[in-house]
Amino acid sequence: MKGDKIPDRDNIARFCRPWQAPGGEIQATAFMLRANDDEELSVNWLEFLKCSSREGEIREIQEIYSKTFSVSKNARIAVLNVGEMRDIVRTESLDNRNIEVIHNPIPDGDQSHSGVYNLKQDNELIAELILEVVRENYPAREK
Amino acid sequence: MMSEVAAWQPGIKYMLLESLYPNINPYGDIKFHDASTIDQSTPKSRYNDSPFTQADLLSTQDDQVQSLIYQIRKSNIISNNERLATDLYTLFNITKEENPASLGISVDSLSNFYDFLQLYTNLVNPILSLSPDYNIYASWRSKKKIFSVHFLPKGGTHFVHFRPNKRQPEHKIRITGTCTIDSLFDIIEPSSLIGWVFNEG
Repeated sequence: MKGDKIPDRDNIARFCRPWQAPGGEIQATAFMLRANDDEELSVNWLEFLKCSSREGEIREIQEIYSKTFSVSKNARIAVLNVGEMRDIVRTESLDNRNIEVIHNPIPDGDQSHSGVYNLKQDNELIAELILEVVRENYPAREK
Repeated sequence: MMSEVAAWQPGIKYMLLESLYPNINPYGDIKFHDASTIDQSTPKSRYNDSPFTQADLLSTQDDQVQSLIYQIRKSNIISNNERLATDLYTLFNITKEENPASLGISVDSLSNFYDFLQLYTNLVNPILSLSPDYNIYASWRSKKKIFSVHFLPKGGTHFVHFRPNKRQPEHKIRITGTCTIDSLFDIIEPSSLIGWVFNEG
């Protein structure tokens, strides 16, 4: 439900634009906020989709993206575990940052949409920490 | 015009702006602290009365970006200049492909990166990506070591450096900070970067 914290055992997908993943290799810039603007880093809650496999989840996410915006052939999907991400940021950041992943479905739109909160703009260290725990990398566009 | 743009330097850009937009003060609006007769209310946008549109400004910025990339490609002192220029063109083109109205690459960040490349001419080719605000982000990676630099549009950098902790291998050393491009390697010992950030020899 909207506002629920996503459990640490669950997984999220982050859409990475082609210039954040040159040559298909995801960079820390995929986990940065825009200056002055963003409060949350948009992600998708994979377990919400209730698929039986990771492949099924990725297909669902690709379809969501294709319906929501134009997906370049070089865009990627980064898959992370919520608990791993929160742990590394809490233990390794300078201020022991406690980031939260909150379910934030889009009305009449993407119901798996969620947000990573308590990030700050220009926080390169945390972006690099998150990159360190990316588990999987998939194309963002359906074949 | 093209020859002037090709000789692009951060100081020159204001001279070009003045000649293109004679009614605009390229140095920003100046406030007088002790002249009560001067209207110090919030000034109107400098572009309100200009006959030029935002599209024209974007086109000028695109030219500036491409000119800087051209300078890198033609440089005799920057190592991997061809590869760097190709990577930058690729980034510029793919951002423009997705959104033609986007910056593509922030010209001020690219200018900062260009100055950096001219200071340190023996660099291994970094992985280049763009921040959400289209600033240059350069990363060098080797085994468990990372050195990443975010080239800020107002000059200066934010950097991140991770490396193994030889004394306590279960922990990593993690360093982050802010500094000018010419002091980056006063903070991180250059000898520890040879072979993966700097070319050997």
